[in-house]
Amino acid sequence: MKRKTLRVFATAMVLSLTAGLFAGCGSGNNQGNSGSSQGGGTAESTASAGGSGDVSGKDTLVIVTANETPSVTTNLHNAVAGDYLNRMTHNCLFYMDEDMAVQPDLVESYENPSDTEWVFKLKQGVKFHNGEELKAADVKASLELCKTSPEVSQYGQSTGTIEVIDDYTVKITTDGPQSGLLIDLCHHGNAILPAALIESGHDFNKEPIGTGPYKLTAWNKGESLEFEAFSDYFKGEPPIKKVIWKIIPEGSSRTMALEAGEADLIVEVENTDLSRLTDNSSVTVFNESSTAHNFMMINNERAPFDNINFRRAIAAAIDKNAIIQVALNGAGSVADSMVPDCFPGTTNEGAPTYDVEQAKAYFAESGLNPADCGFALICSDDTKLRVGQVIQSSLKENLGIDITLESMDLATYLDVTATGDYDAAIGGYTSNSLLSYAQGVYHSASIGSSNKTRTNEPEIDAMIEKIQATVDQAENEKLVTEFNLAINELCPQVPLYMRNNVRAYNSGLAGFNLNAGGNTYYDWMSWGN
Amino acid sequence: MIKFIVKRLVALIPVLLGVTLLVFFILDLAPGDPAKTILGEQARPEDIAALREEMGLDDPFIVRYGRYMFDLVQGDLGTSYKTRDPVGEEVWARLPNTVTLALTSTVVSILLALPLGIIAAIKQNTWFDGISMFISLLGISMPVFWMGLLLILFFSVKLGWFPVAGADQGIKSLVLPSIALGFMHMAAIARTTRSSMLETIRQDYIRTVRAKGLPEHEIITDHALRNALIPTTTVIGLQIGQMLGGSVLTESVFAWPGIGRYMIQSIQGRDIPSVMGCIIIFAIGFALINLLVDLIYGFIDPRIKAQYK
Amino acid sequence: MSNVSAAKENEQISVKKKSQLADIWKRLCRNKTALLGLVIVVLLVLIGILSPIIFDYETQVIKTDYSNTLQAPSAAHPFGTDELGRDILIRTLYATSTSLSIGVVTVIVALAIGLVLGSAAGYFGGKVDMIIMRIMDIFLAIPGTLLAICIVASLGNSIMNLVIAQAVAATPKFARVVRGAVMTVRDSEYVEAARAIGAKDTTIIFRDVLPNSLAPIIVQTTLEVASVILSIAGLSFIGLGIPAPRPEWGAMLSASRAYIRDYSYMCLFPGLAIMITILSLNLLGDGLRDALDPRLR
Repeated sequence: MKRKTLRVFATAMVLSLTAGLFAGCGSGNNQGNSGSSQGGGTAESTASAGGSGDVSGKDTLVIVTANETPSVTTNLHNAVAGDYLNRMTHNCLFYMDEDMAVQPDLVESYENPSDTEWVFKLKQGVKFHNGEELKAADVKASLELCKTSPEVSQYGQSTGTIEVIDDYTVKITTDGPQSGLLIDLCHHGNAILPAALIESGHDFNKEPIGTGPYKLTAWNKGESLEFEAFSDYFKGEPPIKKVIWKIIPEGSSRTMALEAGEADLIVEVENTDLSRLTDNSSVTVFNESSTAHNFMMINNERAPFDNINFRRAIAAAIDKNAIIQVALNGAGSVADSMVPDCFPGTTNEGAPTYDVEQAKAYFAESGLNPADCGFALICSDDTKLRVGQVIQSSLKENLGIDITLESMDLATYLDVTATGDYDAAIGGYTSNSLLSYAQGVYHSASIGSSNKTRTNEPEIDAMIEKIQATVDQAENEKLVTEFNLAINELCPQVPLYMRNNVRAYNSGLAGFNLNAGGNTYYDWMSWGN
Repeated sequence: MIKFIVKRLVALIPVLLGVTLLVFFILDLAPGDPAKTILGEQARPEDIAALREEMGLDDPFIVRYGRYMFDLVQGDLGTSYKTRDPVGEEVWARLPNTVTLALTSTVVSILLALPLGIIAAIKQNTWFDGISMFISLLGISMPVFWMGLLLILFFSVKLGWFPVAGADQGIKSLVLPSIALGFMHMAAIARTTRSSMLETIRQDYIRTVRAKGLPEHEIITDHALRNALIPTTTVIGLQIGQMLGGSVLTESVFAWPGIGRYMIQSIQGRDIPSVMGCIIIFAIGFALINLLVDLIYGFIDPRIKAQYK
Repeated sequence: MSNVSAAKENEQISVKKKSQLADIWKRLCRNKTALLGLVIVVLLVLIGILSPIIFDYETQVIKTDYSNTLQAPSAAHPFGTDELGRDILIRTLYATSTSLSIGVVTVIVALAIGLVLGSAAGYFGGKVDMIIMRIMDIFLAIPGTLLAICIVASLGNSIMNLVIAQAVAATPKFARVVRGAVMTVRDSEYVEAARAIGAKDTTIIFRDVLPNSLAPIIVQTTLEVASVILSIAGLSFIGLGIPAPRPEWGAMLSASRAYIRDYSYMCLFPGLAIMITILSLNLLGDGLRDALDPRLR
């Protein structure tokens, strides 16, 4: 009898222990339940109730995003997801406005006494989140930190030698003329951090102290990041007091969160939901072209891609409109030029366009046999796979070339394309200036990393270097056009499309902004008016 | 008893050593360079080289493994390549979510399985028995991610009752993932309950009780159930262990911020220290649960307890 | 004289074996659900064999048709079409051959390795047993799905690597079952007798020990095919399985996620196909268990 009681006791104990743990964890997790979207009804009906115009009394902005940043430390990542957040907590010396023009941010004024000398006067009274005032020494330490951090050091090349003249004056002497300096200074890698904290080895990932409009208050790994307005922000306390970034990897979930009023802004809008959101009167959809140039990278060192007419033939044989429809649901525009055509001086002239007859003519000129031209096309995600399938059928139909699609994860793709161990892959390159695009994609110094077509033309290199060294705007644009024509002629890659920047947000949100480079300034936004 | 536990824990050490070596070796074979993955599409060659140097990626396998183990025995799971944060912290932040999901789905599976199993046994060979055993078979046969999709389709998309994904709405977020995972594990528990119940009902002492004229429900709850639940307890324990593995898919369907999803992301990013950390935590959890099950089992069955000495 | 008796004995044995098989078959037939499982499994195998013959891979299975995307089920496309305009019915049927063949091949590989390791461990015992089983313990200490994920991620997505990953994850389970089964017959009289007349160890294992421990191995094999197919679908669902554009149920479900609100039919049929396959294999496995060894019931 006694034995039996024991057994029952043991059983009961296990069961109640399980139940007890359940209850404990459950209540711990219960906070943050906003209570919205309760009750039945379809998602649509909830949407019209929750998402619509009434924003009075709202002081929180909930942003939903697909990707969690690896880091919020400005110099330890080069991730888009991290850049979005750095813009909230930090400032750079300059920023890019809505038209991608460089504007002073922490800088009051600057002079350019010679081609290689830049003197920056800093704004006075700018406060870091820890209450310290921003001084020239902070600028020097921050820009130097950028140079030594592999993740962002490419944006620290143009800054040359940095000198502190006085507390509010910094002088940069560049290594030869650098036309890209101001644009590099806009990059989050050059965000200004307190020198004292850099020196003491402060963990910026825990507490990203900067001068920005918001302070990070919590980072729930894998779930969300929470920000609070910085009352001493040097441009004035931002109107929206609290910003929450929620990580929702699944596209339709993000859409439903916005429709239900649980979220106010979607950063990555699922292509398939675009029309649904556009039709929703309480949601505004932003859909404009970006600087993200997407192309089929081809290994120019390998046959048949070493044949210039073959490269032109495939560039002319691919139905780019079909790609935009199938893979992007229309949220993009055709790219023909070998560089993003959104920068000053760029041109489409001389680049092959979709033209089947022309493609056949190029192919005939190449002297190749379609049977020898098959290749493997690497696609590293679902969208790219869809793009690949269009390319596959275009080449088959128009030139009789059979290609195979190779599905690969991102890590492997980045590795094989960088080392040149591949035929062709679908990829892209996002940049804020033509110079950085050209250096990254076509300069021979980038072979082994971002120059994946392995273009190795001394003439092209020289042209890029000349663009870099020409600070005068008009002169620079002329050189850009020259370079653009030459590279269009060479046709080292197959441009496909410029992806649009798409955002969807609660129509009650005022002051929404987004430039082609993907920068959004959250302190410009407010609820209503 | 304590001696037995210590012995088992000591026996765990070589297994865990083997696990680390095995996984470290497998991941070392992986194509893709962590440095290139971190730096992305725009990396420059010199940056890649600098980062590889910094992360010690150029050292030979033995050196890297040795360094990892040296830190590990001191309780340090290393530093994530991707976030530069300690892996221990990353895992620790996500562990509660995985544990919560495993426990709630255990509760769900018990709540579903016990009544099904018990009633099926009492009404053996009736239509109810057939249907309940069929339902439990469905549990084994439906892939957990499909079950998840169907639940999302019906309860989130069509009815709008529960969030589609994520863990930010407390209990509401927990409901669908727990049902999906719990349903999958219900089957084994229901079947064990049914068969042990059947066995118990046929025992002599039940017949005696019945002869005494006790009401049937009292016979079942007070006498049969107690004994029948013993094997069920063991199966429940085993299922919790299984759930740790099954949670990977469930977490990925429901975007649940637990260790399983973190591990998949880390694999995709070639973040070897993070993957190692997840695997080690899973292996330890798995082993501890098995140990616990053995202990409970011994506690219940004195014949087995005798072996612990 | 001795020859005659030996022949007679042989005859008796074969009669006995035949009647044993007949018994098993009879018991299996009496179990209606098991029979249902068997019938479905046979049907699935037929679909698996026939669909690559009936459907043309290039033009019917993977060819995209942009004018025909996301069509709801209709007479022309009973299961509708997917986001690339491919017929979901054809793809679902075609995937049967992929899943079944990978499942079977994987299990054969795992069974072969598991048989060798398990019977060596079980038969020889002692140090051999200890070493083999400690190594198996290492593999068993990681949940199988996770181990397979790590291996596929490391080797890259391909059918070959998928088989390797699944086989590695499944081998220890077989080794355990075989070892257990071998140990129960190792000390039986006929094995001792064989040893007494000086038979070689390998001969004893393969002629005397294994045939007498078949029941649990057969059951494990059937159930393992189911679990491998489920696991492949799971890996494909998280993008680590069969590479596109080859149809696979898990990958089809994964692709349907983005369309679940407007085109929910896309996530129904592939899931149903997995469920039916796993269900029938489980029914058959359970039935076999009951039929092979009534005591296991």
